[in-house]
Amino acid sequence: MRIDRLDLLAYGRFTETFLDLSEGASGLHVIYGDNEAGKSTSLRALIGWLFGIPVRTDDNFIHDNAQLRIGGKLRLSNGRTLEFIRRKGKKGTLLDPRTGEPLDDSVLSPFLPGGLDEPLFKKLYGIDHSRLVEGGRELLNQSGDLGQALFSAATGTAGLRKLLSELKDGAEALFKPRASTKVVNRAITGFKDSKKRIKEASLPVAEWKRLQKELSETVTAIEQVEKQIKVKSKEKSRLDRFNRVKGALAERRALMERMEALGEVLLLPEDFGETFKSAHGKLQWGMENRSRAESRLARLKEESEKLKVRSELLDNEEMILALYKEIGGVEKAIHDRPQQDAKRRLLRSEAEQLLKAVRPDLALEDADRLRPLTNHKKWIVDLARRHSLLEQKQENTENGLRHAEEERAVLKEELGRQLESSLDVDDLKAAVAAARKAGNVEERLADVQKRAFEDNKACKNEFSRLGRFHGNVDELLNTAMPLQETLDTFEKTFDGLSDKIKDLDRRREELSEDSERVEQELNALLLISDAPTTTELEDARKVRNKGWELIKRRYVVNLDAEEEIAMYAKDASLPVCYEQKVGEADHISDQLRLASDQVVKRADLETRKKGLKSRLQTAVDDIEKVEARRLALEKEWKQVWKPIEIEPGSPREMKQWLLKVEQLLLNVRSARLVSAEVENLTAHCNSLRESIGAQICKSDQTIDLEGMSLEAMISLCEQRIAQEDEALEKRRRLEHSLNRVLLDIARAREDLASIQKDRLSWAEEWAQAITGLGLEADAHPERATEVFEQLLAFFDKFDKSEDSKRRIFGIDQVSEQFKEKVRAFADSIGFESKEQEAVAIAAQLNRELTEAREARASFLKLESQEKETRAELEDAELTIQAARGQIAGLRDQAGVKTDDDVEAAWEHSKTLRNLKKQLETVERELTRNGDGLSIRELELEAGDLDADSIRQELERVSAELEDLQANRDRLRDRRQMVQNELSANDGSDAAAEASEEAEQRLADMVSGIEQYLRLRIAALILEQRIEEYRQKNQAPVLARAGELFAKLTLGSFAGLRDELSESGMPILLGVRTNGMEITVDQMSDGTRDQLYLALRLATLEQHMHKGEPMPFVVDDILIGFDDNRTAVCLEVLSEIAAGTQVLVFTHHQSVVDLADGLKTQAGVYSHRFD
Amino acid sequence: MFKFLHAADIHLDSPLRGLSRYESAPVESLRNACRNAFENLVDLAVEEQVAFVLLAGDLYDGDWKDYSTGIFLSRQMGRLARHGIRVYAVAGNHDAANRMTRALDIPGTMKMFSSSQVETIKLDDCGVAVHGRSFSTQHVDTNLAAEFRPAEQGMFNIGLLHTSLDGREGHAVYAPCTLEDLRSKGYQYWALGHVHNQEFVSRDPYIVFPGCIQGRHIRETGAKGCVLGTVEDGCVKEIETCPLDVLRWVSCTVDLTDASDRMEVLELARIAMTRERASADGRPIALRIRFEGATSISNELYAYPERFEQSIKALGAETAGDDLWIERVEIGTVSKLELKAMLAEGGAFGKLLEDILTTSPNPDEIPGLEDVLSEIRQKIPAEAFGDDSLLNLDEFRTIEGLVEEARQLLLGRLLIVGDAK
Repeated sequence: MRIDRLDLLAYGRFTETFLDLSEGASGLHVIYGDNEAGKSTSLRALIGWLFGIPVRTDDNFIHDNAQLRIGGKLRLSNGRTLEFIRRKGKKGTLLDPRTGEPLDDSVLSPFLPGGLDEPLFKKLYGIDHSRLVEGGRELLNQSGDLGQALFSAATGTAGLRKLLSELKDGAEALFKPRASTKVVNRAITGFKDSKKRIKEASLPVAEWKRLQKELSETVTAIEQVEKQIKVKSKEKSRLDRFNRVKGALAERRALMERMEALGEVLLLPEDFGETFKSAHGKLQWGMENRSRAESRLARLKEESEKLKVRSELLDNEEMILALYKEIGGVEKAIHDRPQQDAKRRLLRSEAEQLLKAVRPDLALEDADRLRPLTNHKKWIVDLARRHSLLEQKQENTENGLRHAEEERAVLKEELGRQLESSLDVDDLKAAVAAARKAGNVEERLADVQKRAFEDNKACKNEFSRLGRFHGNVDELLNTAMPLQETLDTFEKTFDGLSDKIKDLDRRREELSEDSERVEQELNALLLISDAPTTTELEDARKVRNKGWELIKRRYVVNLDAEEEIAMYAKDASLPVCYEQKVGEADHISDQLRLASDQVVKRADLETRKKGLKSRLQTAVDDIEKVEARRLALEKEWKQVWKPIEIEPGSPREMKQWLLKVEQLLLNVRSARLVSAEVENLTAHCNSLRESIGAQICKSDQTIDLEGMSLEAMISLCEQRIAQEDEALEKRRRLEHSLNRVLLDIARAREDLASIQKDRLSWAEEWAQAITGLGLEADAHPERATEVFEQLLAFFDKFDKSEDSKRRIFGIDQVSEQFKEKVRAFADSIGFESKEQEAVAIAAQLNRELTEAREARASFLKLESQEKETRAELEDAELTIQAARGQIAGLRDQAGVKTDDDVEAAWEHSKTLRNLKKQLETVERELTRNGDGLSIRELELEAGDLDADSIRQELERVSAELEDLQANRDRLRDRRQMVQNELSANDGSDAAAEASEEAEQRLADMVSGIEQYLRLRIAALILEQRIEEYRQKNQAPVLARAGELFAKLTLGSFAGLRDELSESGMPILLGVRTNGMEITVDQMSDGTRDQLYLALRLATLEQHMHKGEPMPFVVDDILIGFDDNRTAVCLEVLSEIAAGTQVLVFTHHQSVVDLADGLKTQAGVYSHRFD
Repeated sequence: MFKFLHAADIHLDSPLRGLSRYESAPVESLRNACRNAFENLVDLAVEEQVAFVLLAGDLYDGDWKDYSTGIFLSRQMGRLARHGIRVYAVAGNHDAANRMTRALDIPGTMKMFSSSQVETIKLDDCGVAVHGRSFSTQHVDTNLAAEFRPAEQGMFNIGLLHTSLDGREGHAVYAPCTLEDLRSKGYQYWALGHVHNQEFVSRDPYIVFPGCIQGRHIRETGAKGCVLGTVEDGCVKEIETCPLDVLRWVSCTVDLTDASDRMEVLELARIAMTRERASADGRPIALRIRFEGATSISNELYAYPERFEQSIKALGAETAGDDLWIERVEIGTVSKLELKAMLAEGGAFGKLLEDILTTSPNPDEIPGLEDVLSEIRQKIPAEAFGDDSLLNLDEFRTIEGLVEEARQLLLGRLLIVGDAK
């Protein structure tokens, strides 16, 4: 198979692109395209075309999935071709390129043998760069194993070694005879474990029975032992009790004896001892307290006598404190005085300076005369301000006047330049308004004219299309047409007639069909049965009878009838002939009888045939009659139209025609109305032009109105009106401005006069205000103000110096008063002041007052302590009395006289009480330990027993009991054990579960081994095949591959050779030109790639001749080859191309260039996608 | 009117066979299947208030030695006794082989028929005569039916017998007899046991194999249970079959014709699983799933059967959770590639495929195979190669099948290797 053409109809970026690959017997085709867009897409398209476009494709970015189409042509070596288009889809993707109809997938079968699919095609008939590299690497991994190398190259299967090791590894992962962690090995272990568990968990029948028996025996034994234990327990408890109470009983007896020995004793209250002791204690305590208080009182008295309290100071406490407080103020005043004095002198000298500046004639002491002047301050300031205001106002007014006068001059000049207009604007405005009111007459006129023209044209056309009528439109307007009703009548009549004709025709056809059918039936009948008619029978009989007649004449009557006989019998003799005729007649009669049905049918058919014929004739006649009637009607119809000289069509046509005529006439009338409007508008327009034109001429005769449109004229007028209006407005504005300026001038002059008046009155007032300041009456206000300020400053300083003087006086006075007050007070209390300053005296007084206060406080404290001590003394006395009374009471209670006797009585009472308590305890103990027996019963029981032997007895009984109990516990344990054992197996499903698991392990094992065997067998088969393949193909393939390898390595190698390795495996060696042998792992990566290519191509060649060749698709294997190698590789490929089509896809321009330069037998053809 | 239950071939505590464990396998839901099925039988008897239960042999497996099973059986009998339901049982071939039968602690309401002679028990309260005889030894090849007495007049006669009749496929011959032998006795109902498939051999009189109550391997597919009979006026008025099994064995085939990728295959498998699950009346199923048909994905399936099996198991877990155990995945598909036709075109690859296709299954012709097999025989416990096992290596068919699968595996991998990037 080869590819003649590949059509990229709609795929990837291609649309309607064709690749012609038909050249050459098979040929080497180099297909160039840039990497993504051209080369790869076209290669994908080729594969997609042959095997279907993948479900997910990226080649739908221009043409969507439904539009994708790849076409082309395939050719077999026997010349058979197939053209088809592939679309994208799941089913029915092959299309016939001519019809676009789907083709059955089987049309491809002869071209792609055995349902060859895409992966297989690529594997067997394709090679690309990655596969080449992978092949090279595989050679390395196979360590030169010759069988595998040949095999991989032959099958295009790069991963052969991987496949083999995958099979082996897979098997090993499942099972290894001497491993434990593999899947199957684990299952074996698990299976064995489970089996063991079944055994362990199983309860054998015998074991079950044994356990049951043991259980019942044990239960019986337990019952017996328990009975014995009960008896022994009772005995033991009696002995135990005696053992327990025997001490208590003895003690009780002893106690009772001691109580008796004690005799009569008065039982004192339990707290008696305590009370007696505390009464004694209290007495002692009271006496101690009393002596302590007495001594303290004496000490206090002594201390208070030592203290001295100065009452004369304390009585005048307030006065002394007030004096002491004043000390601060006085001291400060004395300190301030020198500073005040200095300040006063400074101010006074400053005041003198200021006065000299204003009025050098006056002394400081006389200056007070000037003080009234200070009241003029506000007045002078006010006047000064008014003065400056007047000055400013006068200046402003004079400026304003000057400006106004200048403006007046300008305005007057401007006004003089304005001209009066002579035009009568009102007339012009009226004319324009009239024209505007009429609207856009010209436009309307143009519209109407256009419509009139079109309407007329349409009418004309319509009229000429109307046909039938020969006159002009006006004549048509005036012609009377036949009435609608007339037309309807004719139409109905015509329709009736043609319906009738149709009916008759149909009837005629039916009749003739019937008669044909009858004819056929008849013919058929005659054909099959040849049924005779009765007429034939009669004829035959007549012939027979004539024979009989002749026989009679000849043989009976003996008449001569030879001639007749000769005529009758012809060649035969008469009897024979007669016999024959009799036979014929009988035959006909027989047939008639046998075929009576057919005869009847034939007769019937013949009758029907006759009837049909006559009915057919009637029908034909009827048709003719109706036809005649129709002709007559047509004549009549034409007559109707004759007066208006029209050749009529059918009534229906004429009805349509008349409708058209009416429509036409309507249109003609409306067209004429439009034409009339055109005339009206033209007249109106002209009158408007005249009136406007007259107005324009009035203002300007130079304008040429000819050819100017009405609109333009109106615009001109409007422009003129606007100009006039503008000039008028300007003049009005100028006049108004002039009036305003004149007014301003008059006002300014008035203002100036009033200002002069104000200035005079101000000068008078000013003279008054500054009198006394020693200035001229017209002194400038600023000078006056300055002098006035100095005067004010003088008074300020002067007043301040006077103030200081007063203060110093005050200080001196305070100091003097304080001194007198202190001395007076000191004298009044007899204080010896000696010659001290008043301040020092006041301070001394204060100090001594403080001391007097402290002495008074100590005295008060001692007084209160003394009081307290006296109270304590009284308390102690009371306590002593009470204690003595209590002690006496207690002596009475004990019935004794002395305190020592009290002690003895208390001791006896305590002993008795103690004994009673002990007895109670012992009796309680007996009751508690006596197991419910009374003391008396216990005494009785004890009487029987020997206290000495009790210990031995008890030990004996206890030992026996312990033995029994131990025995019972043992039996109980046994019972529990047996029960446990029983219940552990009691319907348990442990064994069943283990057996379930064993089965599952077994199943694991089986499925594991199955898979193990599959993998092992597959590996064995594959190895076997590889070896076989090597043996068969080693020699021829190796020779050819060696040649190719030498070429591809540019002579670096001379060929290939095989040899047995150390392990006895055949391995592959490269042979250098110098005979040196290179193993595969010694080769460079590139060389190994070429080795793989050589082996691959050699195998391809070897098998190429065996069947239908398939195209070999080479995708960019030349990447990384230099130009020389590329050229050689192309050469080698072209050798392959002698046997089958080779398609080389490349995106390197250099490959194309090299291919173009190649001269080979097979032919090299390059193709480009640009 | 009264009702009775007829069951047989209980095989208590006999394990389920051929279920290989896998990660998502529902181990828990299948535990104690036989016991649970038997409990279902007792529950049903109590619920239906039957007058008695007939057990026609094979209560245990012959070589099963754990008396716990016997205790379990006694307890269940005890439950029936508490509800006043009597039990009539005969020992079958398995029971006779088992020592437990004699040691069994059974309540008074259960009757085990004698193995030395035919016994007849009359139940006057419901007018029934039960005739029965147990197996005395494992192998009984005499016609036990011949010894049965003629019917008691005026009573509803039941014959209780463990037999293979005149032979049943897949079942050994025990106590052989003909249909006529049974009919001639004039009984109304023959309660038979031994055959694991339910079979109504005759309906006048009723001669019935109820089948086993729980399937234990893939050859025992479909519903398993007992027969519930209603008797009125000495005649069978109604016969009903009641499923008791707790796990159902199902074998199904999925047609992959026209399936073109894994997703479609899995979808078809999912549909099949869902369908089979739906038909199991809510029980978990143990499913053998076989894929057939001509498909373009065939090579891929053959190439990596274990991967495929795993994905089917995962799918099973996802689809039915604990209610589905994939017993086995079988691939029986056919490739769409017409290898033969393609091979005719020659080429080295074609030649190789042809050689692989025609490899003889004879171990002698595959160098090294005999070694592999003997290694396995040595190492693997003998139970794995039993007559029933899929891995009976003594059968030529087994080896032949494995070689065929290996060939397909190899073809598959050769065809897709290098393309799976």
